[in-house]
Amino acid sequence: MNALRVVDAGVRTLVVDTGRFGSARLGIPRSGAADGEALLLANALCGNPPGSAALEIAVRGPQLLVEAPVCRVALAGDAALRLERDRTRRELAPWRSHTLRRGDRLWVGATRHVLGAVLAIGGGVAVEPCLGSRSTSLRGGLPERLGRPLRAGDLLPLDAAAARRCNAPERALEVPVGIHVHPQGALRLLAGPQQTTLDPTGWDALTGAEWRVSASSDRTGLRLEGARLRLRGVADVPSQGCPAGAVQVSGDGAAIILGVDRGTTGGYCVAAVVASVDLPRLGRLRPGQRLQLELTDVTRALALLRRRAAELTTLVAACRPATLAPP
Amino acid sequence: MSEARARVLPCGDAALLVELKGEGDDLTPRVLGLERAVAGAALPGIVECVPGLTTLLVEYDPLLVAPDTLAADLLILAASASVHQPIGRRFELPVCFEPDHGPDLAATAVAAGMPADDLVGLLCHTALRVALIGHLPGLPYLSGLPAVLDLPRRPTVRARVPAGSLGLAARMACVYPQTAPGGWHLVGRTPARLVDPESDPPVRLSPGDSVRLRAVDGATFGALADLEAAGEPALRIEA
Repeated sequence: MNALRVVDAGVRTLVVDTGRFGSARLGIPRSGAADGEALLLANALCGNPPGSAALEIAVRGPQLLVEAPVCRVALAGDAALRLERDRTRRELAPWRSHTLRRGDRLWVGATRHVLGAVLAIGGGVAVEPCLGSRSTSLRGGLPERLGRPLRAGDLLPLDAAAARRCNAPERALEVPVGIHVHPQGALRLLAGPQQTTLDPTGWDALTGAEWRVSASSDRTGLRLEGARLRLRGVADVPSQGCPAGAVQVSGDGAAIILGVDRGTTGGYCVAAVVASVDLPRLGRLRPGQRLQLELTDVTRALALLRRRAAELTTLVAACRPATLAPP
Repeated sequence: MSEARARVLPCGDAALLVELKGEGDDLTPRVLGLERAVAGAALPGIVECVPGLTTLLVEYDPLLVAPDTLAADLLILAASASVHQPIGRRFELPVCFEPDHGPDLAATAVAAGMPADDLVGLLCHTALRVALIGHLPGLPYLSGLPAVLDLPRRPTVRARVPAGSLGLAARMACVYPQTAPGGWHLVGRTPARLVDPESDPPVRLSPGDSVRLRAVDGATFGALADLEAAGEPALRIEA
């Protein structure tokens, strides 16, 4: 079998795709890449279809041994990438593809993102899907293999047809002027179903405070530090479905932005929801990072989303055959 | 059914929350009816529907459908959707109510104004109904409890609720299928597993199933847990 052998699993390496849709009725969360844009671009660099399964790396990445004739990889994000071939080591650049051969060892180093950088693999990680997705779920309900992070000794099966495509030129992302791979600025919020449960001072605090991303943040939710929000009335609601980016406020006024591994339903009020255009940015935040939130409306949020979709189309098209020397 | 019994709440730019209002202590048959109606209408751009206790979250692709159009369609569907009361199976669930398995039993009984034994008796003599599976894989929200158990959640969330714990809040019971954080009052614990990842579907209970609790002592809890680990489910279909 053509595979990548996991020699060292890293701190928390997950198989991710665009997520598991249609299983909320079983209580099984969406899961999938915390940074959907990184998944899209890493796959584009590998020449993969957009939703192919890849690896999400947190804190420190894995060490992988190539047990296939050839294998293409590409990293989107800020982790370091190192290749050991024939007992010599060298750094590999992110944001471009690299073709590895049998016996190569790939180290993915530290990442400063809370949730992770994405390492795409040519043809995608070919683990057996469950309920329509290859994404790991850390919240139970899935077969053991998809229910935990990678472990040393795991074999990541490779798509047999992908090896043939390794003859194609390497691709690199040559970013056109004016398009940000990583947009900055305040995260945009929209009204949530319980927007009136926050009193006006609560709203002022939400959009005026200098928030910090708590170190205890994870894929379930990003905890915000910096203020307590005043509620008028109780925080409890009958358990309701919660979208990604829901800003949930508990009875003590603490705010959490729900992430890709959120519970399918939740019983605390949802005062606001992060605009779709900014959801991928949640996956790129760093512990302790300062964060500002601002309120917008659906019309403006959709205009931003359309503009970002056009930019991403341009970025994917910019994943051109590289002019750099191959490794 | 009149339109006044449903309203559409904003929920960001990629979801709408349809909230149902009305009589009765369990609105989930109407929620599930609306879910079926939305699926049947095959509206463009719908990504997923997530049933809640009184709501249906409708997630959509905002590049494919305008929220105003979708909101109007959802109100029409909510006004005309029929109730969906799934016909369920009848299960018996063993629960140990001893203090190390139900740390909040005594305080919850005080809050409900009855002795702890009476609370256990009440729970075991109530025909509970699986209103919804949600939050965690296989977590059942169980309806059918009397108004005296309309308790707020605990003010602080426990960081670690053991798998199998039976929680009470807001006139509902739930069973935590796995160890997880939780804010419900823990009155007992079952040795039964509610999720079997290797089977299809991986979740043993479905909306519409009825569940009767059977009080067991600590020794029986241990014996049933051992059997469960050996592949003998402690959650039994009632004869």
